[in-house]
Amino acid sequence: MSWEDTIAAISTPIGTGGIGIVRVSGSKAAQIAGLLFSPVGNRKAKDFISHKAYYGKITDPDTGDILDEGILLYMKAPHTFTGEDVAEFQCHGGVYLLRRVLQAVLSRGARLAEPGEFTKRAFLNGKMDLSQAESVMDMIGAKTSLALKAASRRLDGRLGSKIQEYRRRIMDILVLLEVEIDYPEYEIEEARELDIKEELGKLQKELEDLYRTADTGRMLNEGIRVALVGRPNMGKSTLLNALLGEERAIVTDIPGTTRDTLEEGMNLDGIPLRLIDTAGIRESEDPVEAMGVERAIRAAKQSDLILFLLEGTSGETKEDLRILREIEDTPYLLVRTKLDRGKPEEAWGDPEKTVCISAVTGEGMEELKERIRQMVFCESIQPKDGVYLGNARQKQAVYGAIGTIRGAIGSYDLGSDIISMDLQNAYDLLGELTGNSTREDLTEEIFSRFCLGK
Amino acid sequence: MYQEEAMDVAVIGGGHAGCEAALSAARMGMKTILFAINLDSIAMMPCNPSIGGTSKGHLVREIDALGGEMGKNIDKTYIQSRMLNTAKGPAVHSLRAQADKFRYKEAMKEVLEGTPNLRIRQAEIVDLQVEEGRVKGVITASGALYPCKAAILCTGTYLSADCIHGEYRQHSGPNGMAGADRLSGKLKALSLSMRRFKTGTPARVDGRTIDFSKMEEQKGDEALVPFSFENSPEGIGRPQRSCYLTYTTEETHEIIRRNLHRSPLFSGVIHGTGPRYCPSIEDKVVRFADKKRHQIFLEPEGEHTNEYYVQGMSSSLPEDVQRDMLRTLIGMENAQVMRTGYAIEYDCIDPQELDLSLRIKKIEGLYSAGQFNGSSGYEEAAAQGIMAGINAALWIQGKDPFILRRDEAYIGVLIDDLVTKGTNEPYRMMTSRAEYRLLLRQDNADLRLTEKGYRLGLISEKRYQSFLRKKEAIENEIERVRKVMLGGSREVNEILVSRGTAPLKMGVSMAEILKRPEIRYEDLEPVDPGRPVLDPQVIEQVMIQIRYEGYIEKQIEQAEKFQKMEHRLLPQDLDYASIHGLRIEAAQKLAKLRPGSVGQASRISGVSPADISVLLVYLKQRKRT
Repeated sequence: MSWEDTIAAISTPIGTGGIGIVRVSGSKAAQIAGLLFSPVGNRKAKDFISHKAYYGKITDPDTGDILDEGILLYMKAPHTFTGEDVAEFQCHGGVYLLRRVLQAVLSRGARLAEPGEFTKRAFLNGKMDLSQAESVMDMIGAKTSLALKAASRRLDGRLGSKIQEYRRRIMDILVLLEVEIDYPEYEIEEARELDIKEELGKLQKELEDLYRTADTGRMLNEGIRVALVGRPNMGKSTLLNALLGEERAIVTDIPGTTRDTLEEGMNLDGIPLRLIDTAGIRESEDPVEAMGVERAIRAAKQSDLILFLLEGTSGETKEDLRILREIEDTPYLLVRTKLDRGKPEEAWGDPEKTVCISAVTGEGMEELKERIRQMVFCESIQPKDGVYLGNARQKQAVYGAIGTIRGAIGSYDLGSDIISMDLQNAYDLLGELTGNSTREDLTEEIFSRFCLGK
Repeated sequence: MYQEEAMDVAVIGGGHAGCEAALSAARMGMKTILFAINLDSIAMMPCNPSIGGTSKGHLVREIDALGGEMGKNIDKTYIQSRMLNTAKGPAVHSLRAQADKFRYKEAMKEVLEGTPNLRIRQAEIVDLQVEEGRVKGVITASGALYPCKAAILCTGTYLSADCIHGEYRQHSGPNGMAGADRLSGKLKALSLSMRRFKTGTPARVDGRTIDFSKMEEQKGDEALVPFSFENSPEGIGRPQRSCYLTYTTEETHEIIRRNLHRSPLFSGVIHGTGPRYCPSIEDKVVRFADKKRHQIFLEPEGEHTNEYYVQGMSSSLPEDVQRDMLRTLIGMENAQVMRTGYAIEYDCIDPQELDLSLRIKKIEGLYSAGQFNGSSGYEEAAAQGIMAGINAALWIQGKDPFILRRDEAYIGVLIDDLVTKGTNEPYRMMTSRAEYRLLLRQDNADLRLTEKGYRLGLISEKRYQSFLRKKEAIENEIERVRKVMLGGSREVNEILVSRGTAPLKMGVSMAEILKRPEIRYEDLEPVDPGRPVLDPQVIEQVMIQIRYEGYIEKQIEQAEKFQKMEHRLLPQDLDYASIHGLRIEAAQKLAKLRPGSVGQASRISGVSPADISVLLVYLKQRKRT
C-alpha cells in the first residue's frame, strides 16, 4: 500500500437515492477520466476544465460497453476535498452499475481506497482543521477494524476459498524456484515433477475464467446473506414467502452449502439478498433438536445479517437464549412475528434491535425492510459500500494477479529470479486480505517442505 | 585492577565480525584494540571451510565495496572458486569459494597486524565499565581496565558456551577454544535481554581413508571471478582442489534411528534454539523420514591438511554413533574421524535491543555484531562487523550513523530484519529475504556502495578513480548501443539467424537486439565498427542493465515508494501511549522498539497499516502545532 497511489471508491450509500458517485483521487484521476468518459460534443478528454461538470457517456474500456450516461466532475488539485486531483463519476444509482464503473476505474490504474482514506488524505494535505485530527485517527481505527472483520468473513466465501487455492498453487511454484535458487546444490525431487510453465499457463487461464464470471450473476448469487433463525412455527416460512412474494424479484433456488439450509435470492430496492432458511430447526424433532440448533447457528454465523424470529405472544425458551448468545457477534434483528394474533406482552432482548411484524396483514413489513436497509448500509454490517468493497478488492486482486502471471510466462526464459519476482507480486496481490507477507510465508514454506542445510 | 592505555574503540572478539569491526574503525582513524581469548582463533572458521554462496556471496561483495577485508582475504586463500546459479538469472548468481581455513586466518591476522591504529591483544573481557548509561571501558580477566569511548561486542558462540555430543557435555567455546563465562551475566545485569541459541558442526575425517572414486567430483570454475572488485581474474589464478558428493544410505538412517535416545537434541539435554536451515542429520532423518538418501558433500579444509569437512552430517550424537554412521556413507566405509561433530549452545542478545546502526539502545557507545546478535554465518557476521565498526567511529566523531536501506544492500536487509523483526533462531541470509533482489545483485555491489565506502574513508583514492572510470564506461556504452541503429541488412540478419532468433524487417537500435536472450554482446561485433574496447565487467553491466531494463525499472519504482516511508523520520522522544487512536499493542511495540522511521515502524510485527495511518496523521498534527 502506498500513499502515492490513485485511489477510488463508491462514495455514496448504495441502493438509496437515485444517484451514485464513484470518486477517484490522485495523480491519475484525469487520465482515468479520459479513458472512461466521453463528453458529448466531440470535446477531447484532455481538455477537461477544472471544477466543471460534463455530461457524456461512461464506457468500459475493456469491452467497449456503454455503462451509463452521466456527469463527470473534474477537479484539479489543490482545491479539492482531498487536496489531490479528483474525478467524480455521477451515475444512476444502481448497485450493479456503480460496481462496474468502479471496476473499470480500478482496471485503469487506480486502487481501491482503504477505509477512511479520502478523509485521511484530506487531512494530510492540509484540507482539514487541526482539531479534526483526533476524529480522523478514530475513524481510521474504527473503519479498519470493521473492514478487517468483514474481509475475514469474506474469505470464507466461495471466491475467498478460490483465491486461497490459487495462492497455494503460486506458493508451490515459488517455493520450488526459491529453494533451487538458495540451495542450488541440493537435488529437489519435487522440482522434476512440476512443469512450471504448464502450471503457470493453467493458472492464468483459470484466473481469467474466474475474473470473467466474477461479475455475471454474482450480485444475485453472492448477495448479502440474511439468515432466518428461530424455533419451529415462529413464522419463518411465512415471512420468507412474504418477502419473496411481495417483491416479485428474481427467485432462484440455490442448493445450500450446508445440508439443511435453503437459500433464495431476492432483490430489496437494488440490494441483492440471499435469504437463508435454516431448515434444521424447522424439521427438528426432540432427539435431534440439539443438532439442528447447532447447524442453524453455524449457518447463521456465516451470514451477514440474522433475522431471529420469535412469535410475539410466545415466551422465550432456553433455545432462544442459546441462539441469542450465539448470534450476538453477528449483526441481527429480533423479529417478533404474528402481530395479528397479539402484541408481545413484554419486551425481550434488545429493544433497539426488535421489530414487530405480521406477515399476514403486512403490518411492520415496511419497517422491517427499512431496518434491513439501514443495517446493510449504515450500520454494523458494513460502512456504506462494505460488501462490495470486499468483493471489488478481491476482483482487483485477481485482475492484478493475471497481469503478473502473464508477465512471468512472457519472461520465462529470462531466468527464475525474474519469474519469481512476478509470482511474488501475484501472491502479494491475492493475499492482501490475509495478512502474511510473501517473504515470511516463503521462508516458512522452504524449511518446512525441504530437507536442506549443512 | 590496573589501568591500561585509553583507546577509542575496543572490539571484543576476533572472529569475522570482530576483524571487520576493528579494521573499519582503525581505518577511519580510531585508536582501536581487538581482544581475542586466543590470538590463534582470529578469523577462525570453526564450521564449513567456505566463504560465500547464495546471498552470502552478495554480502561479501558488499563488504568489499565498502572497503572491508573478507573478499580480499578469501581471494588470497581460496582453493576452489565457483559461480553458482549461472543458469538462473543475474539477481541470484552467487560466488562461493572453498577456503584454506588455516591460511585464511593467518592472512587475516597479518592484515590486522599491519593496520595502523590497530592493536590486537590476547585477553578475555569479563566486564564492561558503564557509567551513567555510557560505556567507559572494558575489563580483562586478569584485571586490566582499558578505557574506551566505544565498545563492540563480537563474542560469537563463546558466551557461556557448551559443546555437546551424546552424553558428553564439554564446557568450552568452539573447536576446543576456551569459552567466556563471565561477560554474559554482566550484560544481563545491565538489563539487556539475552537468549540462548544453538548451532552445530559435523565431523572432520581423514582424506586418506576416503574412497573418492565412489563419489562425484565437483571441480572449481575455469573462468574465475574474484570476490574483491580490486582483484582481476589473472591476478588470483592458482590450482584448485575438488569437492566430492556422496550420499547417506538406509543403513545410515537405521543407525541414527536406533540411537535417537542418545541424542541430546531428542532427549531434551539441549535447550537452545537451533536453526531450521542447518538441521543435524538426526533431525533430517526424523523430520523427512520418507527420504531414502541425503546428499553429503566432502570439502577439503585446506591445502596442506588431510582433514575433510563432511557437509550435511552436522550431528550431536555420541562419538561412537557418529563414527558408525559416517562409515555407512558411500565411499566412507573405512573413514577415520579426526574431529567429532558437536552442537554448541551459547548466549546472545535479542537483536531488538539494537537500533539500525547496531548500537545497543540502552547503553551509549555500546555496539554489537555477528552471532552475538542472533545471526549465523561468517558472512553475516562480517557484514555486521564492518557496519558496527563504521558506526562506532562515526558516533565518536559526532557524525550521523551510516545505515543501508533494504533497497540498497543485502547488508541493509540483514540488519533491518534482525533489529526490526527480531529472530527466534540463528538468522541466515537468503536471497528470498530481499524484496529488491534484482537491484541488489552481486555484480553491481561496487556500483551500489563504492561511493559510500569512499566517503567514509575506507576506499583508496586510486580504487575510487578506477571505479569512476568503470562507471563512466558503462554509462557511455549503454547510451551508445541505444543510439546505434542496425538495419535489416544481410550481414545483420545472418548473425541473428545463426543465433536462432528472428531476422529484422526494419532498423532497430542495437540495444533492442541485445535484449534478445539468444544474443551475446560479442555476436554483434562484425556489424558494430564503432565499438570501443571494454573490460568484461563493463560489458556484463551493459548487458544486464539493457536486458532486464523493464524489470529493473519496476523494482526501482517500488523502491522509490518504499523510500518515501523510510524518509519520514520518527522522533525518538515520541510518547506512543498518548497517541490517540493507536491500538495498545502497537503503541507498546513502538515504544519498545523506537523505530527510526515510519517505514521501519511498518515492518514491526503487531503494527498494522491502520496504526501507520494514525501515526502519519499524528505526525502531521504535531508538525502543524
